[in-house]
Amino acid sequence: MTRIRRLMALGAASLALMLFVAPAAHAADLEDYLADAADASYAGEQATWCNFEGQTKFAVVSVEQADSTMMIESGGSSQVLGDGKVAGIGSTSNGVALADWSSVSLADRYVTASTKSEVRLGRNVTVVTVDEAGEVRARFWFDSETGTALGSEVYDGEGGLFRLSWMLDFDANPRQIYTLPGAPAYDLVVTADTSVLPASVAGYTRVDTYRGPNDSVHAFYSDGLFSFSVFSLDGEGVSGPFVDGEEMNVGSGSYRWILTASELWVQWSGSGKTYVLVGDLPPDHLESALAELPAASGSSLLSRIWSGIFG
Amino acid sequence: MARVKSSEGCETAELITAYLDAELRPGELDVIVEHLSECRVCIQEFHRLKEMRAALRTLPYLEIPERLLPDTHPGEQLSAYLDGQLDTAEHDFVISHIDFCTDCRLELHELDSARTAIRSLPGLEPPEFMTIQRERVQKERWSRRRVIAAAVGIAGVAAVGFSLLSPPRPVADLDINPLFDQHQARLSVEYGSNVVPVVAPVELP
Amino acid sequence: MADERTPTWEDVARIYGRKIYNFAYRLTGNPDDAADLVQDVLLRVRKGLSSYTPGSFDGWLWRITRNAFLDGVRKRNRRPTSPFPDDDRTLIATSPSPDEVLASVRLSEDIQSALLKLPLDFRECVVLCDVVGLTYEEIAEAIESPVGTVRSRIHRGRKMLRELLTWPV
Repeated sequence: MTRIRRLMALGAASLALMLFVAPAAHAADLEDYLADAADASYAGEQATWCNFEGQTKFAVVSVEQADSTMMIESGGSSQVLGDGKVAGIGSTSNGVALADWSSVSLADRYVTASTKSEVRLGRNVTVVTVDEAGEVRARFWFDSETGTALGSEVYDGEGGLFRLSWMLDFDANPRQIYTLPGAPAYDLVVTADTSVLPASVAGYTRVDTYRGPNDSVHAFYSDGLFSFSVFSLDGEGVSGPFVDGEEMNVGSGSYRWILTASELWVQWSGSGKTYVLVGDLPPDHLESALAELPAASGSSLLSRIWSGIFG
Repeated sequence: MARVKSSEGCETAELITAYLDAELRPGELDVIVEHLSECRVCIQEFHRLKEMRAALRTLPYLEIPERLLPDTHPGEQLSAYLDGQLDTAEHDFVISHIDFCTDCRLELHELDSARTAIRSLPGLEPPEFMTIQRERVQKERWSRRRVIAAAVGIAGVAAVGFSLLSPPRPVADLDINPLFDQHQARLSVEYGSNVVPVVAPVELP
Repeated sequence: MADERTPTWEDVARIYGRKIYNFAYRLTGNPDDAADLVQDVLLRVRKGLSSYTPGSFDGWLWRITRNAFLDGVRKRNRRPTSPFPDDDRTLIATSPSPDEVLASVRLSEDIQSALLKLPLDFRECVVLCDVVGLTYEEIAEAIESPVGTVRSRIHRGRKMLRELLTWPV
């Protein structure tokens, strides 16, 4: 509740500040860095830390990327993803393959405030600081040789650190990733349309919409830097892992959330639908987005009662 | 015209090639740099070899004839696949083919859309669920609807007190792993801050 | 890091097929021979994969490719051309100045013709380096010879090519 008021106050102050700050470098540079990072070849251990509403999550994963295919290993299980496909290695269930996708360019609100050279992990890096409304929003350490993002910081809109990641070790010459032996089967994900999920939300554009699992609609939103998916399912109530999730209120609606080191998951219900949001967007953007997405039911009490009756 | 003078006599000539390919062994760099600052024959040789190497590397990189690659494209099998009319071997072939063949994947998507459009015309079957799903999931959905219908009758009396509208249907039990997979699939082609890889679903409770 | 995964022969075809085809084409100058070589290599890979022990996959693959090529050469009875005698005048003619050579539209055809005139051991080293893009170490593994030999052959191969390409009619 108060977060929104704080956000508005901050926004007003930042706006005033922005008028007196000289315009910085064109944000197209950041797009190039990010594109190069996505195509880089490297391998290493990556540590990610995230802090939200008093909770902290930390995770270390092994990553290997080559030729736009990425292999991620953590907790004993591995996935391969790339080119709109994802599959678990050694998994009995099918992978998913997107039929199509579009792209969106970096939103104007992001400005490359500065770039400079540093040495990290014994490697030459370029540090790119990204501002939003006159305040630091994110920072990336791009490896000069491979283009990989060795480290990153994302701020929460109030000067606090939201997410932090760093490679713990780094290998610029990974062995080639092969396609999976006996390539797994993929379920095809086709595009769909929605009249319920808005075309744009809090500065994010709805870039793609798909049919999702369990007869849901999957809308993917992005502003070129951060992104999130919203799944819309039939029925109301708190369900699955969100039963053990934390609760928060935005406006008069009740939301459940789960934090992982790399993403935030939020679930809510309203008007016969349940929504699940997942993404790496910072907390202030999340609040604005939730305010513009279909609203949650007035009282969590009501949904609990219905869940109690119908199980 | 006279033939180009050979630098055969120079012992360090081979170092030029190694230098151009960045394959010098430790200590050899000093030798070649020093030599090139003195030996005019080798300087000429250096430029000639550099050009030749560059010319070789601009040779067209040819496409491999399609027939040499495993599997031809499914073609008509795509429609049969959507109708569930392929035998196991053909079915597996189509699935592993669309794994790497973007063109066929797009064609399958278009066929599916066309097929759904036709089926949504009045008088025909209601639009089918568009993603290719296994039967098991379909059956689960129907069984849940039956349970809800029964429950409404029982709770109908209690419901009146809260609202005159029918109660919202409870959402099916949520497995977020498939949601995560589909989200990740889209992230795999997104150039954003998620250059930092996302944590695998096993991390989720 | 996860342990080495052995690809299937379909993976090899998709990932390496084009490289193998270009290697074969530049060595033989003939699309049909190149196609035959690719199929031959894939067949050998298919047979050999079950006994393949994880190690340097690239090295293993290029050894197979090279051996398949040599076997094919022996079978077809086409011996690699010997070094071109000094006094033969029927070499291809290109414009004499280096700048014009590089700008020439016919360059790739001329280079291909010149390549076919190289001794086989020079030719394969040059192609593995400049067409396939292997390092000296990788080429040494493929041809089962020392790195010094690789370097020498690439040097002499390129030199000879250069001389062939500037020899006027």
